[in-house]
Amino acid sequence: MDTLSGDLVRLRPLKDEDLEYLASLKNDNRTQATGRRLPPRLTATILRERHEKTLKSPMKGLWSIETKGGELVGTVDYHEYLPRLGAMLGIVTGTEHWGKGYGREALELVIRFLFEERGLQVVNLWTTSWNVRMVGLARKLGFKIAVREREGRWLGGTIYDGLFLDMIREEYYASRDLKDMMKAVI
Amino acid sequence: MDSLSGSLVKLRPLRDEDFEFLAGLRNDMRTQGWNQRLPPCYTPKMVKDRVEKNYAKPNQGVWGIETKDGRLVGYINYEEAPPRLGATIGVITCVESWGKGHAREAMELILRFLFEERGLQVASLWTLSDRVRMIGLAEKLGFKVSARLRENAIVGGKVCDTIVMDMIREEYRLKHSKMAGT
Repeated sequence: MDTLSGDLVRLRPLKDEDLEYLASLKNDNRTQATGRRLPPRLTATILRERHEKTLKSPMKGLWSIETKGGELVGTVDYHEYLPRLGAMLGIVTGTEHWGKGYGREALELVIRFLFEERGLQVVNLWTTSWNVRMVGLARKLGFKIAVREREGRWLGGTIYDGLFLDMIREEYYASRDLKDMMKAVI
Repeated sequence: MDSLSGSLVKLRPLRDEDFEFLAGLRNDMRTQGWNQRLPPCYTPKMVKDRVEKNYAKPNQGVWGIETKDGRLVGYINYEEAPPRLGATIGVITCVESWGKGHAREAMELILRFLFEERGLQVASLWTLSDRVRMIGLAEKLGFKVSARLRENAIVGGKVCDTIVMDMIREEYRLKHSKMAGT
């Protein structure tokens, strides 16, 4: 693997001129980015400070997702909550880019990086039951629902479940028909 | 020695317009630049900050490697620890310039500088057992493997070793006879 690049998108470092668009994604309640920890009033400045901190951590990765034509789509990130064991993923793409396979390929690239280059045992992500697109994508990628946090989220006046999905190393290699070379050494 | 300049490349100070290219090298997992300490999402600003910090210290050096026709192909750096005794060298070149002797000449220029101008006793470098090109180059230059940290790194889904290589002053002197006796 040379760089994190696929057929549809490539993952590249963040640029200052991305921040305005990325802040707007965070402020869009329909996207994955809405973490409900802050009201939707994030600014480019808040994001820049947050990203600079993130990029200094050896256990965190954060990329802009860009189409092969150079259009910014969103971001994908991970955090190794237990170094070299498990990582939690995050992804957000603009609604105008949905349904084109960008999010799927971006996640596939990061997952491959985490299993192949970081040697992790498990990757996981949080989403909500209203976000059926994200749940469907995660399932297609091989994730399984591990935790259902019942009635722990809400959107547009309705109560939903929080969902925690994960995929373990063995499932990744089996579903992609790949050989786990690390296992071969042990 | 006039400047850090050879027949293929010269070493020159880094400029603001270089950092985009250098960040790209750090993010390319085939190069030496990807050191696994940080994931490949280096921004040009991160490289710039690091280089500026590096420039402020008397015991570190960093240069761009430029071909004679003015193309930047990578960069090379060293850090003396302990000062005036030993240094660790780092070198990265872009994949397109591999096999053309650019890194080899850049390393030769730095080694000559460290042994002859800084008067060091030992020069060393770290790499991975997977980086066969780097190990081959270092051996050609006179480095020997001095430590092998077994199975402590992962590259391309495979476990590999971290390799420490070094060359002491006497070995350098025997290989490069122009240097005056120690």
